Formats: sequence, structure tokens, C-alpha cells
Amino acid sequence: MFVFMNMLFQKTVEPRDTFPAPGGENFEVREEEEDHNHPKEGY
Amino acid sequence: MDDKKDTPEAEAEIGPAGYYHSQKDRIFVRAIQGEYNLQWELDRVRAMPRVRKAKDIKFVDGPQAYSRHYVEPKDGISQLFHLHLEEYGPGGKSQKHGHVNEAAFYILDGEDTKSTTIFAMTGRQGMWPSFTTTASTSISTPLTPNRRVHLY
Repeated sequence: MFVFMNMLFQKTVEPRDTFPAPGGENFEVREEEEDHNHPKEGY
Repeated sequence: MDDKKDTPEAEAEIGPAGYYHSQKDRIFVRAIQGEYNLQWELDRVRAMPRVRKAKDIKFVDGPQAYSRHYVEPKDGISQLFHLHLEEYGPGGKSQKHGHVNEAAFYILDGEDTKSTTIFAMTGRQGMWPSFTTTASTSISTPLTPNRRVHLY
């Protein structure tokens, strides 16, 4: 009941844009980790 | 039921074709059915792989926000749990959506956090005063890529 009542209110209000944002035209998603969130040169 | 669900206008409201959130057959709650005994389900779940590697799961959607869905109910491991990693390009944002089930967000990466904005609004607290859940989110990172994990 808890689950299904919650789902009544799920809704997409604005879909994802299908075009790049200004300044993000050449963005490529990082499929592989580059630095595991640590700088290569260390801290 | 609502007849407008099959119209092109209604489909446009859901999202662009081919995008994850445009799917009409998503499983939000995985069913368990069969005999009056869950031992077989317990055995099945325990036999499932315990590690899901990022290299085996590709990002989908884009070009502003990409999603890597690590686990969701259709994978046969969880009943409700859904974990996905989002990566946003410069200035990117996700779809604006609402749900009153609980969600947790972890920002993993990104720079210039002062200009990173997460918009969130609370659920229908007037209807269920005891709920204080996140209902809608979108994120914007004007300068650099940004990653976050979203659990719900």
C-alpha cells in the first residue's frame, strides 16, 4: 500500500533535452574512470 | 482509464523516444509469484552475482545528462531498489520529475560546486504530513562535468 500510493505521484514534468546545453556541445560521457576522483599528481 | 495516454502529445510529455524515462514497460516493483514458499526466491537471489561492474554497464541517454543504471528491479535482484549513476555535461540538466518515495543523492565528482545547483521540492506533505521526501530534482553544472549517484 505504501509503495503503490507513492507511485501515484510519480510524474515527469519536463523530459530530458535532446540537444547539448550551451557550452557542452563537445561533452563526452566518461565511460571509464580517469582518476578515481583523486588527482594523478597526488595531494 | 485515461485515453490521452496513447496520443502523440501524451508521449511527448513522457520524453523523447528511446530515452530511458520514455519506456512504457519499466518495472518499478518486481513481482514474486509461485508457490506459498519463498525459499526458491531466496536461493535464486543468493545465487545472483554480487558484483556489477561499471565497465559492463554503458551510459544511456544524453547529451546533457547520461545515466548508468547499476541495478533496478528488472535485473531480478531487488524488489524496489534502483541505483544509477548520473553524469552531467557542462550546463547539463536531467528531466524534471516527481516522486514521493525516498531518494538519496551522493555527489561524487565535479568542480566549481558553487555554481552547481540541485533543485528539489518536497512531496505532498499536506496530504501525508509524516512524509518529508524529495519529489523532484534536476541539476545544473555550468562549467564542468559532474557525477552523482541516485538511489531510490
